[in-house]
Amino acid sequence: MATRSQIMQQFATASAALSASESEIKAARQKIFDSVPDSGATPQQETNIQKLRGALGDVLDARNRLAVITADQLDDSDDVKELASQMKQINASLQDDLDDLKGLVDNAEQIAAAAKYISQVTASVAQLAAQLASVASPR
Amino acid sequence: MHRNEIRTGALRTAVVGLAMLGLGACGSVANFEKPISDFQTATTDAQSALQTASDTLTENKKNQLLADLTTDKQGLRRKAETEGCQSTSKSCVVVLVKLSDESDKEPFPPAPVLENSLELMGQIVLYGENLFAIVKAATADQIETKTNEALASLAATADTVKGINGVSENVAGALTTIQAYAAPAEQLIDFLVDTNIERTKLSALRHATKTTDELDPTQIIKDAAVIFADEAVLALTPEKSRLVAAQVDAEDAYQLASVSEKPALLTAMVQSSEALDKALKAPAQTTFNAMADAHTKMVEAIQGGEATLPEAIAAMNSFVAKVKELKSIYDSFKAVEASN
Repeated sequence: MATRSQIMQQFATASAALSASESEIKAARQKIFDSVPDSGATPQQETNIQKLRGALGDVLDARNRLAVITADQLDDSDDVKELASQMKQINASLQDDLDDLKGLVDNAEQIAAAAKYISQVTASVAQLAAQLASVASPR
Repeated sequence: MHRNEIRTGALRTAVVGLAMLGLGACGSVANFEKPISDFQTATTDAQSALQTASDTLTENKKNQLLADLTTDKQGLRRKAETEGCQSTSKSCVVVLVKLSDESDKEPFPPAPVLENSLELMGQIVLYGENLFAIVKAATADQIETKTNEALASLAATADTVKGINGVSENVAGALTTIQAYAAPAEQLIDFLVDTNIERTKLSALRHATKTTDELDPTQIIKDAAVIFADEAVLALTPEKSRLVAAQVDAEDAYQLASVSEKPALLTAMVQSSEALDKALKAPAQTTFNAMADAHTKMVEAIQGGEATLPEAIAAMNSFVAKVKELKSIYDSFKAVEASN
């Protein structure tokens, strides 16, 4: 399986060849434009421009195909799969940290509730103790 | 002094002291809320842009395959076949086979282009969400409220215990019962010692973004950004090709016209050139470079490295702006595609 840099190297080579063709077509068009008389293009000039336009269409089509093939190759490269796998590991570790944090908050809630409960129970016991004390030591 | 009085007095002092020490020094994690929140939002936008890129490339691939059924270019010509499709087969799919190379088969309709890259981007979005969840996990204020409730309850407990001791030695049984509830109070001390919540959150952020021997989030996102940038540029190709064709058509019309016709044709040539210019300048590459840069600086700021917090925020702002522009450009191209 090719790496990202190998895929992009192949793309750059093919793309450069297409760019060269596009430049040649543009130069040829310009040459025709420069000789168009004020009255408008001659039939021959129009025909030649049509041919160049067709050639350009082929170049653009080839460039679109190259883009799709390259994107497919990049997407299928081991680089992408390996990076996704590494990010999954990082997220799993992050989830553990988040669970720990959640545990701390849960503890806080439980302890606050427990402390409140201690207070309530103690108040009841104190009341009972006071009643017992008054019974045990009658005036 | 009675043992319980000593205990509750010490407990109250310890709890109040720890509360002041532990919960007073907050705010450091809150400083990262803005860049992390922006990172989360911007990576979600980047994911959306990449999804549009995938849709564009997939649609283009589909159109290319359809064109290959009727093309007169023999090297590209394809025929349709079925694979499987018998009563005992496990599946039934249509494939388009290249006539010049029958090993070149493409399912039709084609599978989405950039499927794996979207999975990778999804993991980066999740990473941003998780970082933000750490920042937004119970704040010190929330913990402080809970702790204050606990402190108030414990103070009431301590007073009550004192009252009981003063009543009579005959209530030893009642005191034993109360003592049974002392363990949760001790847990509260442990809790406050162990849970300086802000420190815990900062520690979690640093842990999540730290480079280890096995994993380096900064490098992973840099490497992913390079690939996304390549793919984003490639995804613009069909639209650029369409705009080049439109610009060439407009220019041909102008250049081949007579002098008297030219002024009326100039506007179309300018408009088509401007549309192409905008596509050529789309920040496809720079958006993902900005994502990597913003993440690197954010991590450096969290880890106390080279980048300062203002530098991290500035880099994040740049990423946010670029990804919005890219998304907007992709969306406009998508709208053109839909109207065609």
